[in-house]
Amino acid sequence: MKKLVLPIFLSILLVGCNDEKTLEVNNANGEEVKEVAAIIKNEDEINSGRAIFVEDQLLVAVQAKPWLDYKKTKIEKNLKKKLEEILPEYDITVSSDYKLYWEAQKLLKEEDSEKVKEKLEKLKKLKKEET
Amino acid sequence: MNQEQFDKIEQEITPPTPYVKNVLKAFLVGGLICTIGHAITYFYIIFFDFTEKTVGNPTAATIIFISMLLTGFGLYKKIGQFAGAGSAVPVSGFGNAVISAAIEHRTEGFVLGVGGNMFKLAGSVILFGVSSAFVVSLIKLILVTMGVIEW
Amino acid sequence: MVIIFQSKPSIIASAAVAGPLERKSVFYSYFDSVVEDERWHQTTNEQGNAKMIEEACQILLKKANLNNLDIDFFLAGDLVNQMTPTNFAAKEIAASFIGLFSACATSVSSVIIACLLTELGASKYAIAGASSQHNSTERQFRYPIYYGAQKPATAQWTVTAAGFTLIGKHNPKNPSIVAATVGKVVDYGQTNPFHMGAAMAPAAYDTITKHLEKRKQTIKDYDVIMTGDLGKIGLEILKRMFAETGATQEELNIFRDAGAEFYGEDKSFLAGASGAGCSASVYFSYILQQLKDGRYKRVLLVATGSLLSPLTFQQGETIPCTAHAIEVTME
Repeated sequence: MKKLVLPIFLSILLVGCNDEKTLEVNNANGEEVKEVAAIIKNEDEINSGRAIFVEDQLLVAVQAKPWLDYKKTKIEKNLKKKLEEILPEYDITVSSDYKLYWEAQKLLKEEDSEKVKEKLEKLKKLKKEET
Repeated sequence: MNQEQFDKIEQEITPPTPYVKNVLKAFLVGGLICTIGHAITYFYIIFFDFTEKTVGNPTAATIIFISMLLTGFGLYKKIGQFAGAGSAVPVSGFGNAVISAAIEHRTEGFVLGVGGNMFKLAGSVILFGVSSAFVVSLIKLILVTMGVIEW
Repeated sequence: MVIIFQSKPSIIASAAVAGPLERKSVFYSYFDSVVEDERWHQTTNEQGNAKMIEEACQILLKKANLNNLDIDFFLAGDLVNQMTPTNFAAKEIAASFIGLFSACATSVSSVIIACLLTELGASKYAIAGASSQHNSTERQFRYPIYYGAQKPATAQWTVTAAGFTLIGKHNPKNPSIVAATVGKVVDYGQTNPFHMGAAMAPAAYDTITKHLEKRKQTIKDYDVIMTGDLGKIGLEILKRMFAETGATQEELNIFRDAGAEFYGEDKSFLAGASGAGCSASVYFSYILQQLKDGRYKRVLLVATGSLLSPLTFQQGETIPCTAHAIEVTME
């Protein structure tokens, strides 16, 4: 038992330090995707992001880097501001909440845009809940 | 045998409290409890409609429920003897304090026994928890007003 | 104050009963009855404690071939508030009753008073003893039993056990009590309720030295000097106190402690056993048996008690302690 403790501890530590920024986007027009990708790439405080485009709506769910959790609201605010500047025609929702990040993964695969929209509305509502 | 002589003997023989060992044990068990808590948060986030903001309540309730079962079966006491602060500080320790007192005073009836004594130990946690929360939020309010940090 | 009993009252019979956890005790085989249920199949722990006392007294009467109407006095105590378990048991025994409280030293203080009454000629048969029940005592003095607080290595475990004796006129076939010392209250300023051994050791030291001095004896005059519930660390402190005042290693080996030995080397009981039932059940089973078997000729039983309440230690008071001793011999 005692012999196992150190290897397990080390592997957890090493897995935690995996440092590759990922960005996943659902099927949408190329120009906007590139712009969003560029912004997220430039944000040092973000670990990974998922962007969902549907009609005039954009959901960007990001995961902040470990240890930066306490700055979450600030990161969200900054990112939203930057995105709104380049994509003024979109209704943008930015969230660093894991729930939205997780659901965004499901939406990436969803083909039916009606369903995506419906789900997005629900997520926006969830985001507003306080307790 | 005078007081000084006795004090010297007493101090020589009484084993010192193993602080380092206790701290390590508390860290491990406390960390384990919190890891389980985190696993429960992810469970609620992934399978139910909870966000990081709202998941705290169901998680705390689940942990307290588990702690209630462990208390009733007499296991929490054993964990407590091993872990010390590690099992007392997380919310499960609060549950244990409430539930153990409730079980203890069951024989005096529900109103005066359970009702009157349930918060015998946990009452001070609530009092000092609420008052320290007040102070902390006051400090935060001041810092935010001054522009040092944001909400 | 040392009392010398001219008539040498005898311990006609004795009984010890214990709870389920006490199966782990090294003295287990000497107990008359061990019950499966900590609560003695009653609804509350306090009722269980009372039932335990009744059962011990019934075994005692059976052993002596007497019934409860033959008993003149019932002298006993326990650790619950107002000694209610003993009071309720006394109702069933229906003898003249005085409740006694010297904390864990009640096992011996009750015997001393029974001996005095016998010596006086007021009592033909008197039951003396003490009991403690783990759950009700923990609740009285510490936390709820299921509360997960960490106890330090100096803490002791209150036993569920009762020990009772029947004191009657001198009978050469039985162990007799020749002298007793009623201890003073000694306070060396100890304040930790989880380190009672250290608080009680000076009281035991005081009583033992007084007894030896007055009786013009040395430690070696005894086969064993057994303290009540100092625990492993308390016993070490007591031995060191005697070592500092010139006792040899051989003499120190005569000292034993019921609480330190009760659960053997089991680490989960920390410094050992405590409680009024600890000294009572060991003295009135194991020790008396050794005397009857002729292995011991003269023993000094020193029950120690810490006279604190949850109220006083929360108010920051020190823990006053006492120790009472009886000198038991076998002819």
